[in-house]
Amino acid sequence: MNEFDELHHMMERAAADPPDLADRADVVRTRGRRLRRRRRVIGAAAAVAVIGGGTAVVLPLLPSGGNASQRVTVVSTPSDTPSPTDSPTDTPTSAPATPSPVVSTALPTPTPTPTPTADSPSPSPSDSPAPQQTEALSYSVATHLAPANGNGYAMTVVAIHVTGWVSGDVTDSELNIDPNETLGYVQGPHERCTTSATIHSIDQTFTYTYAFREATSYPIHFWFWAGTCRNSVGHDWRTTIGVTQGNSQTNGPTEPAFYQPFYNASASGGAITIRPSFGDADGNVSQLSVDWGNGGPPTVINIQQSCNDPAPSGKYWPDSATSQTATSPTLSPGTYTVTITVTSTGCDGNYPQTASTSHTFTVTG
Amino acid sequence: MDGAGGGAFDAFVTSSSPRLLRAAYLLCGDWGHAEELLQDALVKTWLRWSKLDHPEAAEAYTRVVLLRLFLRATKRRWTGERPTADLPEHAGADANTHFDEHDCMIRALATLPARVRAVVVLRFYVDMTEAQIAETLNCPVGTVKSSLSRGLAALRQVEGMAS
Repeated sequence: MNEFDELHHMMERAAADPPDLADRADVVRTRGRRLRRRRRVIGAAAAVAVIGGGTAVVLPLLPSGGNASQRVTVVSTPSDTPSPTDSPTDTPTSAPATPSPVVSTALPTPTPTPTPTADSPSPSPSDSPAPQQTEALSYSVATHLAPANGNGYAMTVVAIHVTGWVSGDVTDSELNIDPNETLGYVQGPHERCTTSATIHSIDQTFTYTYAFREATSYPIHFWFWAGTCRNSVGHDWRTTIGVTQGNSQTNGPTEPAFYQPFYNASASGGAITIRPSFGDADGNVSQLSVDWGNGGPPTVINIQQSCNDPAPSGKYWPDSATSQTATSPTLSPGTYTVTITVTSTGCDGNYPQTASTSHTFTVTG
Repeated sequence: MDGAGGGAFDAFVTSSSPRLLRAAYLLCGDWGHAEELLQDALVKTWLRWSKLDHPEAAEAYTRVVLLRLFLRATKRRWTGERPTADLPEHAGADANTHFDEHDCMIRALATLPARVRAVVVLRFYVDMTEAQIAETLNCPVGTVKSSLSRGLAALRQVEGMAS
């Protein structure tokens, strides 16, 4: 038995006896309904707050070198209270979608612990308690257009500048643009660990490049984590940015992808059956083509599903995921290289993108 | 319809929950936490059910959500995990008299950093390719390869896993 099979079987045996919960679907449905009601209440409360307080964020435009940019400085107390694993919008204590900015003139001056030197190393991180994040952090955001890279999409750079004091190193970050904050967020480019939980100052800019669909304002939710490898604390900040250049395409720049192209595929009885799963994070998968490698015509499956165009229409890219089953015609014994190709488009059927992958099957007599 | 079509969603939960729950258990090492993780992921799937047209697609979607919830949860707050050179004795098991493969695997996985553990579980339990894992975790394939390499090396160091 090879290493893969051995580990696979060991994991299967390790997780062989899950507890049974007969009414799991009911529990999930109840929680989902409650969550939906809570989101409606939060949305209404946020709207009232904006109208009543007149706190709609106005972001002054500061043209710079031909690129539109904007800057607003906000001091906020990070919401470091541990959040549930639901997206932050699930909690009634979440910040409203449009925060009230307070212009900062000076940073608070917390008393940090001394920075370790070669002569006075920091305490063992594995023994350190969870760092107490009581420091104020200052955030500002600026946007500008990225240089054209030839893919035909206008890319916007979102640069978030953070200053203040944190414990440990910044481990990673993410910027949520997707309103559901589930899929489609942009992950920070770095992930690293430190063994030191010492409090120190940071003055760091996190940059993300993203193709916004529309030139309009977007609420964003920024996260970064700081601490040691396994003991980090998340800091988040919400604001609204103005995007100056959208994209006329209806299918976003990310190409479609196969998640599990040949999972549970089989070659028996003189035929090959595949069950690929695939999707496009910013497009609508519309067609699957299967070339069975036998010289015959490919099997073409047109995906019948409604296009997911999140409201308000035209502001966010559609996304999609599906799986299909395809069976080859009867094949004579031999080896066949099966190539599958997925095509995605916009909701209007335009701007097609494709992705392909292959796998070799042996058909026995 | 209120979010998810009743019968189809029930069938999806019934058929896919065991697989997803096992994967969640391998990730977090505790059935209770695994159940919470799975329910959180299923709630998000339920909210988007009308956009998913096939049970297999829903399972793949739920798996990705589950994975990201797990990674977020491990980063967002202190989880009680501490990296240690020597594994603590496992409550309830007598290591001197009986080698328990089940405990061994769970304890071995618990020694890995969350993201490396996720890569190992996706590769060896869920049977995803390195490219698919990279797509799921939104990282380069090289990072997946190095994580797998580090993960396997760490697993081999755990007593009972050497073979």
